[in-house]
Amino acid sequence: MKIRVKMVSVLQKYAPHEMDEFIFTVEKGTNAKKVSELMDIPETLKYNMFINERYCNPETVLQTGDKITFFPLMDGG
Amino acid sequence: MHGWKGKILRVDLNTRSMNEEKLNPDIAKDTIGGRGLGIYYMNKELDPLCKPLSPENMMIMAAGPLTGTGAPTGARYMVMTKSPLTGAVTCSNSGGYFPTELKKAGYDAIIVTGKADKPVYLWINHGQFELRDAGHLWGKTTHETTDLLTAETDTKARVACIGPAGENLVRFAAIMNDKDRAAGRSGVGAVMGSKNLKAIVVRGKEKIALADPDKFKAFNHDILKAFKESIKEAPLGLTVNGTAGVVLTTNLLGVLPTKNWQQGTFDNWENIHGETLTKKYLVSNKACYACPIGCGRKTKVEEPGFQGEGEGPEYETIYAMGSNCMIDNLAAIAKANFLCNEFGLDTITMGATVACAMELFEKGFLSEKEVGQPLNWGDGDALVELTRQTALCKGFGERLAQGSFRLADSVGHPELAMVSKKQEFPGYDPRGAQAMGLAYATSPIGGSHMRGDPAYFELFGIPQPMDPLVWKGKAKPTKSFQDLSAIIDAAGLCIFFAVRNLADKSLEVKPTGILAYLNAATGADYTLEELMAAGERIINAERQFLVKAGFARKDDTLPSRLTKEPTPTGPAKGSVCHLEEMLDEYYQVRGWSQDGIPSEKKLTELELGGKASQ
Repeated sequence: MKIRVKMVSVLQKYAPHEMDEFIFTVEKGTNAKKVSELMDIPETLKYNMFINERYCNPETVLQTGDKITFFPLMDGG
Repeated sequence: MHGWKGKILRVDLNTRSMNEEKLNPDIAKDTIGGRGLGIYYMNKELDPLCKPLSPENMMIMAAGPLTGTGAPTGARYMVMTKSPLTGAVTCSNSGGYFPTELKKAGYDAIIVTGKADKPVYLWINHGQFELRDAGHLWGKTTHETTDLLTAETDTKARVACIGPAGENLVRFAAIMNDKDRAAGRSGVGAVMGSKNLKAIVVRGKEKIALADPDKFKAFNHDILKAFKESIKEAPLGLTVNGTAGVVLTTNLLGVLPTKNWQQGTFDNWENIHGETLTKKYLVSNKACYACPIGCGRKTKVEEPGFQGEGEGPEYETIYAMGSNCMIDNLAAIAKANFLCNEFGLDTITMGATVACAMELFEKGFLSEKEVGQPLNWGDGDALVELTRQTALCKGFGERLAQGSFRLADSVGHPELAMVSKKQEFPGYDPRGAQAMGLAYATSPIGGSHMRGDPAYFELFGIPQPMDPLVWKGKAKPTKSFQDLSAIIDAAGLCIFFAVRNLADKSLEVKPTGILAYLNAATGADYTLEELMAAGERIINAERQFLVKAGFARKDDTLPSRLTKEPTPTGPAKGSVCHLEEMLDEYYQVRGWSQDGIPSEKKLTELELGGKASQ
């Protein structure tokens, strides 16, 4: 099934050709954690994930057409 | 004593008398220090109904038992007083090097009462203290004052002072220490100005004794090693881009307040983002005493009209003066920030008040004649000019100096002031981060993120993420973060290090690391339960003060924009903040009545005694 993947800021370097957003084909039943593994994002990097602009757990399973966003964890204020 | 210095300096400016007082060890343990010690003395000695700018008000500067010990980020102190902006208690926090020097000079706290008949400054030198004439300093900026005072006292002395804004009693004047670090919020600088106290200068050489130096050293080693390990693969965003790096997160999540909180996203966010600040203006990082993060920014701007150098801007300044005013010119924001530091103004309230004025102007509630110039969205020149006018209380600045609530109220539209308890919010729209709304409304000092910051779990995923758009179940973690903030503030630590590294990874954020540091430093043998109770005690003691000053649920509010107008853009589109529902849950979790009054049972449990109301 096809999903959309968005990489924000420093995470863009883990996207094909460093694109900020792209279509990606995954098997049915793929969860958010699996997508991050397929992107080769190191486990030690700190980031958060959205599916369709809502927070998700690593175990959340994606559906066809979903958009998953990876963004670096920032704090402060 | 260990950790604590065991001494408080009392200064009565009415009579110009000063004396040292011993810090009672039991009180030290129960209050922890800093913020806890401050509210203890306020409740004991200050009339909650006093006028904030009258000689009756007291101003307390209090460090914590970990300040100056070498514990990571143990660099902070609290300024506590009754606020001229809110009429409530305020606790304004700052780091740098002044707080450590205060401890080395021999004191945990300074308590100032009364009013000097003419401008003075307090010079504390190795346990000696005197009030000196400050006539020659009146009207000087904070930078000029600091340079003059170190020249006439000791080149290694540390200075906390007010600028012209504090002298002119601007309701959101700051106290600046080490030139560019600010006890910024709620007008603590105006209280200092009302007392004719221009500065406090400290120099000390005393060591801060530790109860168990070996244990302290070993624990410190382990904590710093773990911290270094955690940043091995990627440095902290705070170190790379400062707090300004948060612009990316808040804009992405749709909670970056824009156009006086009419929107939660800003089209030109990249122009004001921390990465842009780093690329265009960063000279170097700057760290407070014993800080391994170094989020401070030394910056320099060379664009014509905005030239200057100093520190900042921080994220909160960038939201308030940037997206909130639709200003995408980072040079203008930095310039206004430099002016705030030099004049001694809170950048959040300054920016938010200009944003409010821009909306009032757009809607025709303020005329060009009243403002003295057009005041359109995005006008960076106007921001800089009005910042100057505000500090000096000149022209339209005299009205801005009252803060956004009084300005909007004066033209019949208080609903356009984005405040809680008359204090402007930091930069997280609670329509897209529900618990932030609860924290703003219940913060003892009004709109603030530093007295309990749910942004950690709602926006940053620390210690674990909670969906920011869901309101149910948010009261409990909000309470936990508020109690933790009280412990951090009382101990003399910084939230940026302590939340990540000195609390456990549950949403209860149990202060396990702080406990280890405190026991090794003070020898007070806190249990985890005692320490958590001490945090809760501080929040309840502050609430006692508020209740006696007339505050209740009616004051735990948000503007109708945030509870009734759905946010129009971003991931939170269509959402409002469900404050009333969260408040019901929150008071229950706190053990307060549904009117927001601490129950006798809760006060007895926390050994605060008596009733909350008069």
